[in-house]
Parts: sequence; structure tokens; C-alpha cells
Amino acid sequence: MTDEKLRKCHECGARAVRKLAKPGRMTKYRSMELEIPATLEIPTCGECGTEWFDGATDAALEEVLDESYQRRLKDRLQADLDIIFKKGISQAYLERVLGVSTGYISKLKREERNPGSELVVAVRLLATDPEKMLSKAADVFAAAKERRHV
Amino acid sequence: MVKAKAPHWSLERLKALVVADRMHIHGKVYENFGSRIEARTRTKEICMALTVDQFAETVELTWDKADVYGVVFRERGWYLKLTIDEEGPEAVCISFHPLKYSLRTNRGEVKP
Repeated sequence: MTDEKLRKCHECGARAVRKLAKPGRMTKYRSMELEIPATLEIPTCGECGTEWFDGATDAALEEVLDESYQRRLKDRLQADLDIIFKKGISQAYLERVLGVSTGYISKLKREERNPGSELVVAVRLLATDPEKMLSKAADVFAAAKERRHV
Repeated sequence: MVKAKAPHWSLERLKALVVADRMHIHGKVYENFGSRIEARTRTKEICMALTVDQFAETVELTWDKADVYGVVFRERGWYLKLTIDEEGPEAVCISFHPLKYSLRTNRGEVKP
């Protein structure tokens, strides 16, 4: 039995705000809709359901959401890199087309770096039809196109 | 000369609570930001920079009073509704979102 003091909800006026942990809560984080861990407590009104965030809750939530966000970016990137490389496209060529440093994709594959969302989106688009899309992308960098399989 | 309207809640008290990180923010506020920390940081920064010039009106809620401000943020007008709960004590950000309609403040009209 908890003796936690109920706080007032400034949405509905009920004195019914208490820390609540429950499954099935979703939230927007950067470009994604992510699930809030079922064990994370958020001050929530028992009458109207409004959630009220304090600094400590925000910090805790930011940490788990960022971890979840990075995991999804990494998983998406790995899956799309597999698609591209199965088409016989070299890593060096892909790096030139994407304009990233030599060896950067290796670091991403080993999860030594966190990919940015722009890169993940670009690789996702390339993976939809690697040869055609890479050829189009390489038009921007003519030199890269000439050395396609190097 | 028209006398400027005054907010119900003291800005000095509000800022003292914000500095102490005694601030609760309504869950909907976060929908306008990329991350939790960004939402909290920006909301606090805006509160710390508030002046009476930006005050629009005090609204009487059934259970308390809240002050509404019109602020320019990200090159557009935003609606900010704040109250103070002295039981906490804590500053409470009830709303912070881009304006849907123009808002008359002491400084003048703030447009969406």
C-alpha cells in the first residue's frame, strides 16, 4: 500500500494524479512512434488520463526512448545494407555515393557509430531497387559512377 | 494611455520554480517537439524569458486560474498557458503550441 500524495490535475481539476506504470502507452519521439516501457512510472490523472511530466520523468523517458530509437535505426540500416550488398554492390561504392568516409559503413555495421536518420532514410530508398537507385544517386557524383564496383 | 494587463501569477515566482526545475508539463506539449528534453528545455527557456508585454489574459478555470501568453517561437506565434500550484509547489505548463488564431497581448497582436 502506497501513501503517495495525490496531486491535482490541471486538466480536469480532480485530485487524482499519481505515478502510474502500465503497458500499451505510445509516444512520438523524433520521427517515430515508440512504446513507453510498461514499468516506467508517469504522473497520470486517474480521472481524465492526462499525463504530467516532471524533469525526472522526462530524463528517464528520454533515455529509454533514445535507446529504442537508435535500436530501430540500426536494425533498419542493417537490413537495408544486407539487401544492397546481396546485389553485389561494393561497400566502397556505396560510401562514395552516400558521401561518407571510407570505412564508415563498417563502423555502422559493427555498431561503433549511431546512424543519423537522414542516412537511414537514404539507404532505405536505395534498398528499394539498389542498382537503379544507386545509379540515379551516382549521377550527382559522376566520378563515383565510373568506379561502381571498386 | 491604456494600462497594461497584469498576470494573476507572479512572473518572478514562476521563474524561481522553473529555475528549481519544479515544473510539470502537460503530455500534449511534447507533441510539438522532437524529443522530451527539447520540449522541456525550450518550454523552460521561454518561461524564463517571459515579460508582462507578452501577457494576454488570465483564464478562470473551474479549479484554478491560468495565465495566457502569446510568444514568438520558431518564427511564429505560440500559445502558452501557465499556472502555479503552491501545494507542490510547482509551475505548471498546461498548454504550449502554435497559435491557431491571433492573440492580443500587452505588446500587441501575436499572429499564428
